[in-house]
Amino acid sequence: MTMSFPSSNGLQQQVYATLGDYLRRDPTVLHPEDSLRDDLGLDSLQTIELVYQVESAFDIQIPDEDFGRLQTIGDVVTYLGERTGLTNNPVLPTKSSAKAKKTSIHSTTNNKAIAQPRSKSSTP
Amino acid sequence: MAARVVITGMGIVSPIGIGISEFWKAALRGQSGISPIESFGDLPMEGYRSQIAGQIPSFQPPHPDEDKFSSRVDRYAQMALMATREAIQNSGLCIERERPERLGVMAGVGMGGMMMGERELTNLYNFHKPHRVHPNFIPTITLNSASGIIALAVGGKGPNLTVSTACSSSVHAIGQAMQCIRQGQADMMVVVGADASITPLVFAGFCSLRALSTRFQDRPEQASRPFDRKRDGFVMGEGAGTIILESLQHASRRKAKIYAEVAGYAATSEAYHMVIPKEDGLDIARTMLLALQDAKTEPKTIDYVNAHATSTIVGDEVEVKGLRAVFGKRVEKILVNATKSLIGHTLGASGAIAAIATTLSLDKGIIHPTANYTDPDPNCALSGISATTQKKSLKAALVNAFGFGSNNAVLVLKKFS
Repeated sequence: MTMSFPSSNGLQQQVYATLGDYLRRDPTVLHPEDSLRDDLGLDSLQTIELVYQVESAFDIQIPDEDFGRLQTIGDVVTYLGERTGLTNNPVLPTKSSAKAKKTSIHSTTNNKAIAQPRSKSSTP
Repeated sequence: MAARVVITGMGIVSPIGIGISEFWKAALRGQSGISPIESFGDLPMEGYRSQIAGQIPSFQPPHPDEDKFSSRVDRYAQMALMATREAIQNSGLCIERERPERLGVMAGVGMGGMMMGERELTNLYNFHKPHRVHPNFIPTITLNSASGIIALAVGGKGPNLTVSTACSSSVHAIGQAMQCIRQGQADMMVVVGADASITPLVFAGFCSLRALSTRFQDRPEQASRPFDRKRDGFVMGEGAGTIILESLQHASRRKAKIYAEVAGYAATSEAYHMVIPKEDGLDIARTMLLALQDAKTEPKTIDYVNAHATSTIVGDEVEVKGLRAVFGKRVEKILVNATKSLIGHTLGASGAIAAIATTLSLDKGIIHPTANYTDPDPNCALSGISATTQKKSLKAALVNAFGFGSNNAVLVLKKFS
C-alpha cells in the first residue's frame, strides 16, 4: 500500500507500523537501537524482504549503495526522514531492559492476496 | 546386493481429507472432493470453460509463530510440509536420533509456486515496477522450493532433489528415492508429491488445452469418471502426499511398522507427443514390464493396479490397452481403481497420493471405489473396476503414472513379508 508522506512523528509511527507488520510484533516494543540482524534475528533475505516492505509502504526505491546503512530500526527511520525530506527528530522509545527476542517473520507468500480459488463448497 | 526399500510412514493433504485417516475413510466411501470454483480472488469465472476443481478450502498453513517454514513458501509447498509432518509422525522416526547425512528428500512437483508466480507476473506487467517484485519470488517459484524447505524442516542432509515430469512427477520421485536407498546414498528418504496450481493462469491453460471436463459443471462430483462412457476430460485438483522410505535394515533395526515394500520401478519415454499418449499403449505396457523386471517378478503376481486414469477419453483407453498387453486374459481378474475419480488430478501430487492409496490397500486388503463408473466404456471396461469398494487379500500392485512430455513411470509395491 502506498502512503502519503507524513509529518516526522507520523513518519516514525508509520515506519514502526510497517516494521511491526512485517515482524508480527507490536510496534511499541520496537526500539531504534534494535539491530535488524542481531536483535530481530533477520537473516539477509529477511532483511531484504523487510526493506522491500518499507519500499512498498513508502513508494520509494532504496538503492543498493544505501542498503548497507540500514542496520537498525533507527537507521531506517532516519533514512526515510532524509528521503522524504522530513526532519526526523522523533521522541523515540527507549529500549527496555528486556532484549527483543528473535521473532518469526511475516508470511512472504500471503496466499490470500493471490487469486486463490474460492470454493462454493464449505466442505472438502 | 541392493537394499530392500520399504514404506514406513505416510501423510496427506487432499480434497477429501487432510490426514491419512480422514482421507482413507472418505476414499472408501467413494466421496468426491470436486466442487465449483467460485472465483479466483477478484477475478470472476466467466470465460473459463471449466469451473470446477478438487480444492481444499479447509487447508490453512500453520501460524508462522508455530511453523517458521510454511510462511516462506507457496501453497503447494505448505501442503507438502503438512503432509510431511504427518508422515514423519506416522513413521515413528525420531529425526533427532538419526544421522542427518543419511536422511534425504525427494519431491515430485509439476507446476510449483504458481500462486506467487502469477501474482508477481501480473503486478509487474500491470504496474511496470520491477523493483516491486517480491524478494522471495525466485526462492518461492523454483521447482525445488518444496524439497528445499522440507530438508530444512526435517534437517535432512542427504540427497535433496526435485523431479518434475508433469503428472508423473511423484511416481518418478518415489522411484528415484528408492534408487537412492538401493545405491546406499541414504537410509531414509522423505518423498513428497505436491501441487497447488488452481490459479487463474494455469487453470486457463488447461482449459485452453481442452483437457478438462466441461460436461458436468452443474454436478461437479460426477465430472471425474475414469473408464466411464460419459467421461470428457480430467478435473484439476490440488494436494500433497508424503511417504517415508527406508532401507529394510534401517526400518527393522528401529522396529518400525512396515506398510509395504517398494519392489520395482521403471521410467520410459514414448518420444511420441507432448500431451497425447501413443494409441497402441505398447510403451505403457513396456514400462509396466520393466518395473516388474526390476522387482524380479512377473505379471501373474500382480493382483491390483492403481491406474493413472485421469478420465480423459484417449488416456484411459490407452492405459487399458497397455494393461491388456501386459496381463492378457488375466487382466479381468486384477482389481483396478482410479484415485483421481475421487479427488481429480492433483498433478505433481497425484503419483504420491496414488501410492498412498495403494499402500493402504495392500496393508488393509481393500481398494476404494472408482467413483462414477456407472456406464462402463466398452473400450476400457474391465471386470476389476468397480464403483464400490472391493475387498481382497492383496500381495502386489502397480502404480501407473504418465506425464506430459511423453513420459511413463510405474512402481511395483508389495505387501511386506
